[in-house]
Amino acid sequence: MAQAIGVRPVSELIQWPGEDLSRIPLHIYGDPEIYAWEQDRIFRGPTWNFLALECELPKPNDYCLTRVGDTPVIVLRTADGSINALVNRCSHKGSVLCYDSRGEGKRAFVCPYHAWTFDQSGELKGIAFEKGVGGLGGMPADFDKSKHALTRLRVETIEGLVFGTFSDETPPLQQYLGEPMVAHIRRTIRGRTMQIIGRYNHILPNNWKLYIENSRDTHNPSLLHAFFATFKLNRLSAEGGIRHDLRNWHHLVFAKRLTDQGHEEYSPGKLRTMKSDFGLNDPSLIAQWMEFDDNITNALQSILPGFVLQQILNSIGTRQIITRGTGECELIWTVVAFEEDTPEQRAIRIKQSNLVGPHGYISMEDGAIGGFVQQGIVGDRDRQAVVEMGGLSADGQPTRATETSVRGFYKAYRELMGV
Amino acid sequence: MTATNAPTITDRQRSAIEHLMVDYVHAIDEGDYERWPAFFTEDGHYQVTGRDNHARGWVAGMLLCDNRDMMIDRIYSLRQVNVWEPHTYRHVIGPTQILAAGTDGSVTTQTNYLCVRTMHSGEQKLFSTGRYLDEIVFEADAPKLRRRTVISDSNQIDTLLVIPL
Repeated sequence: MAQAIGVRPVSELIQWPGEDLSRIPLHIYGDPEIYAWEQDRIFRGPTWNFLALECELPKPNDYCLTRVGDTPVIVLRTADGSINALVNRCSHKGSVLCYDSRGEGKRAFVCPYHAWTFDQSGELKGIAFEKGVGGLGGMPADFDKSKHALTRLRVETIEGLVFGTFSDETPPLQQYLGEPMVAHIRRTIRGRTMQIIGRYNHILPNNWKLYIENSRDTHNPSLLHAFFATFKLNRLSAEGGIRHDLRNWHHLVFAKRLTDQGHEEYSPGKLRTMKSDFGLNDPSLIAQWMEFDDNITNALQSILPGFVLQQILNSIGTRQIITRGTGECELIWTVVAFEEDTPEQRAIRIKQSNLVGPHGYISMEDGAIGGFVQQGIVGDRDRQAVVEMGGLSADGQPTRATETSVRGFYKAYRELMGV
Repeated sequence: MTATNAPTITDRQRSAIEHLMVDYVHAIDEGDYERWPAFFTEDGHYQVTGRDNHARGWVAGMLLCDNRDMMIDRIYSLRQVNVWEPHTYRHVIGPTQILAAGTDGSVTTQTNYLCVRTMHSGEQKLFSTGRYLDEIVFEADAPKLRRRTVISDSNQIDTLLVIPL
């Protein structure tokens, strides 16, 4: 346990309603004790958490900072080129060792408080005044520095994405992801060399789980996000579907824009999001090239607990959820291009960054909607959300008119939390 | 780029630029968003970026528009399509510093801003501080923004960015 100190047992805090996955108790979005358990059992539990892109650490001895849940983490490339991740907390008094968000040439980590020094593996190598001064003071002779290393995460990478886990029980990364998820990550990055072209730090006024649910909610895009539906970018009548790993922990929703022949449910006037008079003065915004042989034009891949790999037309990027207490979280959007892109392709990716992020034509509502839920539920902590579209199970389905992936998230949530 | 070479512009041009700066923020703060594209040239470029993004040369900013039509689309979407909790901005801008005068008649300037967001509930929040880095040209004596890069000091955006800064 790292955070759930002095809080009630989780079994007293959450009694899941009903026998199936179709209800979500609303108090889990605002309870600080449950939040503490989530830190321990989910973020520091048997899960792989996204840490960084390898391209952020191009040279030996580069480092950058991130967080896993609440825990501050240093991600670094060692002198021999491998990647390590260490908790950014000095084992002496607890100060952060690094306070600059990135840096280079870092062969050792020296605490700014009392100069305890750690190597790139987190081993404690030096203590100022260890032998005292003039034979007086200093550390006890039997003080064992090897017992005071930094907490080190296991690290694995796939296609330039760096993941870390706190738990020895987490299976190897590819086994954790499962074959369909590994295949889609490889299909999206395809061995190309990533270059970051933008990053947006998006503060969401809601519990972290509400964003994860939203990213897995496959039928809201055509309802909430008018821009999408209007331009036939992601109407549910386009060919698409959902893929899961065997445990239903991770989830991929995809659509093939050019397969959309329309459907009468999208006729003008039937849905608010279908505005027949909305035409772009400059349609270059949604110009795209067919980047993938599978003709998939939109794909959101959610990896438990808080990572999303995105393809919206040709906008490729990552989304990383950082917790910030029960009622707020930070969503870090990173949009990328590839060294292999032509100048025209790069220009299209830059322009399509208009679709995503806190300003995104099709994603800005995600900033608002979680806040709307958080505002709405505050007086009704004893009530439940209803997630029955597409049935009661969390299986993969050949339609996006379903909430199966939201149920999948809570299946995993309950397994991890033990409730 | 420094101002040490004292770029020469006429008093009339300087006064027109100062008027542009003030008029721009009043148009936005009073909710007159349809006026926003007209502050730019036809091929005007606009984007909001964070100080850190800007320093790292990351070019994909927010609300990126590379012509006036894209700006018109943004305002139409703001009015008709996007879902957001009603709010307004109040900008306070500092004096405009002239950084350079190009041989093509363009003037490069920077202007500090501070922007407070007021929600319909009355809640007020410091939404963004930063600077406008501008390239201004004169069209029939009227100054227009050929390029406005809004460099926010923070890379964080609270909830969403729908109204241009």
